[in-house]
Amino acid sequence: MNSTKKVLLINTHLTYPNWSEGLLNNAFHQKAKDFFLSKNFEVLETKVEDGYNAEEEVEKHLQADIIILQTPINWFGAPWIYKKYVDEVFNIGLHTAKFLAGDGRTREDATRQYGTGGNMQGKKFMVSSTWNAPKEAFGNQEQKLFQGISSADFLMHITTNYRFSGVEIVADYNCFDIFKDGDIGKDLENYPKHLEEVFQL
Amino acid sequence: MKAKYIVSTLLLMLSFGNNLKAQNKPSKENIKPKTVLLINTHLTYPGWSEGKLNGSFYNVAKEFFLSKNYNVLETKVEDGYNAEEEVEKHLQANIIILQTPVNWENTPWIYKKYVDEVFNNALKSKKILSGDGRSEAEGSKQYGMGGKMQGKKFMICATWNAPEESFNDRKQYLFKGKSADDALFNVGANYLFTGFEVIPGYYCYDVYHNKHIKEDLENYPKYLQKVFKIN
Repeated sequence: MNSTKKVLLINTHLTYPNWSEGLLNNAFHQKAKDFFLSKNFEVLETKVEDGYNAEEEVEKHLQADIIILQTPINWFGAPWIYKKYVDEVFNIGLHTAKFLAGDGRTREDATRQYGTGGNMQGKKFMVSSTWNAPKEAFGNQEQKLFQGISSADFLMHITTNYRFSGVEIVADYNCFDIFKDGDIGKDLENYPKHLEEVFQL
Repeated sequence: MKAKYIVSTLLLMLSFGNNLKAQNKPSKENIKPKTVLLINTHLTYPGWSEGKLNGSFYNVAKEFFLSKNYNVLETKVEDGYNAEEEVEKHLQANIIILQTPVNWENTPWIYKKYVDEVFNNALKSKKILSGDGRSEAEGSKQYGMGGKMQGKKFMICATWNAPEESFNDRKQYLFKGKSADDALFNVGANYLFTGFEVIPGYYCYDVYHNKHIKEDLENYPKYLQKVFKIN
């Protein structure tokens, strides 16, 4: 039984006319799409800005082996439409017990840890994001803003929901410093290699 | 550019002189009341989360600051707001406190909407930051040092389903040794970026098991007094 693998690609760019039109996030989304099609994956897609049905999104998550979030970083997080998407989709995933069966703690077993109630073991989640922040702002104690944290540490507020649901988090891919000194062309070119590595394809 | 610098230095010296005079002759008009902005971003889910707990913490903070003669500005995000007015409130406030439940590991989505709208407005008007700190005009090479809000303080007061034991312990599956402040770093980051000092948060954990909500509410004013050094 060799069933087709599925990937869910979520693009959560939010358009600000004449300021941020989403071309860069589209380009990364398309790169990932081409890559997974070339590996014979079935590709499910969601463009948050275009609207969605939360129940359908739960089903897409259940079908997918791999979930990738494509996002710009606006004010140190995904655009607000993404948190709305998460609150709506994960609330249904919780109420139906499809994503998780509680927070993992039980009355019967006091050793069960918080956050181990997920039902989505075996799936993988990755963030691909575009930043104004330069790469040097991360992983360096002397940097005043991030104070030594990595991009993965920073994205924890997004990835933890997937961990909470039992999904494995793989290394994020970032295109830094997009307005100034970043090398967007190179970052796009290297993206498939990253996907190949982290998902062992 | 140079002329501007001299003028502002002169103005600074003049105002300093006034301050010295004011110190010699203390009078009521010279004691400017301090201002706090309290933002409550609870989002109501009828029959599931009505916002009573966040309302309680919010009121404890409000009563505390009123008792210390602070001017209290308020925003209840769920009830609507005007982004430009919110920028002005940020400019007026010495202290900003965000009261929030933790929904899916962060603030409810209405708060990120508030941030995107209010901070975008402030970025365009350059009222709370001049940029990301890396331009020559900003005189700094580091990213994130373009804020103009130096001297102001920001704090989060949050209610969690997560128990306290799930933080600061490498053996814990979910947070892998991270602190609650680490988990909410993204929220404070915008304030760091605009020059605020971010004060460690005050957290009420494991709220559905209701083990120490009463104590957490009781101890909240003491915490505020300590971190903001208020007599």
